[in-house]
Amino acid sequence: MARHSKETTFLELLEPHRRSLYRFCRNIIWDKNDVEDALQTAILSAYKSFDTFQKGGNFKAWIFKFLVNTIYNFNKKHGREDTFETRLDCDELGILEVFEKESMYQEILKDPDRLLEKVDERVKRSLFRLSLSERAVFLLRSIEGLSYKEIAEVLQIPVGTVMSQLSRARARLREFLCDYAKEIGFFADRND
Amino acid sequence: MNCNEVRQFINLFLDSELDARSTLEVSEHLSACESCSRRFTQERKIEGALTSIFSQEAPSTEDEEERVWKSIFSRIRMYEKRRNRGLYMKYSIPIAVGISAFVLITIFNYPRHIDLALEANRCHTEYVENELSPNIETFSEEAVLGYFSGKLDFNLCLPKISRKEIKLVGARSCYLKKVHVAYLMYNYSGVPLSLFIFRDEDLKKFPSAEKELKTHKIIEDKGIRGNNFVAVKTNGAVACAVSEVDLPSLKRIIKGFEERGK
Ligand SMILES: [Zn+2]
Repeated sequence: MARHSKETTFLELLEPHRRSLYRFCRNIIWDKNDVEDALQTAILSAYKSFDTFQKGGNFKAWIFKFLVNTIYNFNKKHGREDTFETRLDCDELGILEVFEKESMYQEILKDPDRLLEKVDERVKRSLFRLSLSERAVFLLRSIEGLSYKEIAEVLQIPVGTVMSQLSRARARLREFLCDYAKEIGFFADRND
Repeated sequence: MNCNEVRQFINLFLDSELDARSTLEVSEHLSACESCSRRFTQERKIEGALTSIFSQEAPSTEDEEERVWKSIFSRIRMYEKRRNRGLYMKYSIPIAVGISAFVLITIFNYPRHIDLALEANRCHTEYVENELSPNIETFSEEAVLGYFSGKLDFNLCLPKISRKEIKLVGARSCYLKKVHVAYLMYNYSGVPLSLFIFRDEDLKKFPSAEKELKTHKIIEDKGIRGNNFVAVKTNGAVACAVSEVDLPSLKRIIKGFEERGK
């Protein structure tokens, strides 16, 4: 009876976040062949530690922590050893204002839809040009909708670091978007 | 807040991470400043577009995802099964060992009484509790021998009683495990004492007594519901005594039987 309820409770809590966990894992793991193993390892180790989960607590943040740690270990296997605290440059805040492609970005902003309808897989791949921590922070915020505090909990980093990493991730993604726009002749189109 | 200050808060504002006061100030500025408002809307659009790009999954991965989840669920079930088996082993083995030990200790410590002693005691108890009365009430050994004359298929002889404290009370014929016995009732200093005599061939009905008597001349058993038991085999017959009386006294009586038998 107790066994049944533990398993059932866990699976019930897991159900609404399955999609997110899978997607996050795919978006952040270095080697796509590791997706299944990493997810399985993460979920099972979360299940084994389910007793430590505070009833009524934030299950999403709790389980993402297991996934993030597992992915970190899997990436380490491939020599992708960036932790969530490293690669902190000093130009985090306000990077949008100072980055060299600002003018291009301004151009995109004038009519974002015109570029956005042209995006393809290449933009998606640009996500992997972000560091692991930038990618994790960005995905947890934008896609998973976690608060800064929750992200800090998941990645076990200070909220300040979450903010700077997020800001940096956004700036870099916009930079990649500019590169992409240039590549597909977005600005040439307009000038013609 | 001016435009520069407001734009510093763009991420926090879009992420709903600004405190209430700052949120209000930014909102007020945005409703008044068209340039900032447009910028915020466009940023939101870009952010939304990036988010949707990264959250898109190729249709083929949905089946793949389901397969992955199914395998994860089965791993959890397997883990649960193994864990329960583990718990079962963890607790069941010590429990089984404990029970076995208890049973063994009980068996070895529990007084294992001689079968004959138990039967004799049962009959003795019936007599003491007045459920069984003598067929003949007499102090005379001759009367007893006369009573049994022709009733038994073995030569009955009574123990030589030299002590005054033991007195014959009566006798009856009865059965212990379907073995026909001569049952003699005595009184030893006011304490009832039963003596059973039967053909030695019938000893096979009492395997543990038979086994004991092969190696011991006199066998004894004590503490059968507070009674003691002594038995001896001699002259083609077996005699056994049951009483509250102490073992040495019982042995003396039985020895008298043995002497008489010679
Ligand atoms: Zn403004």
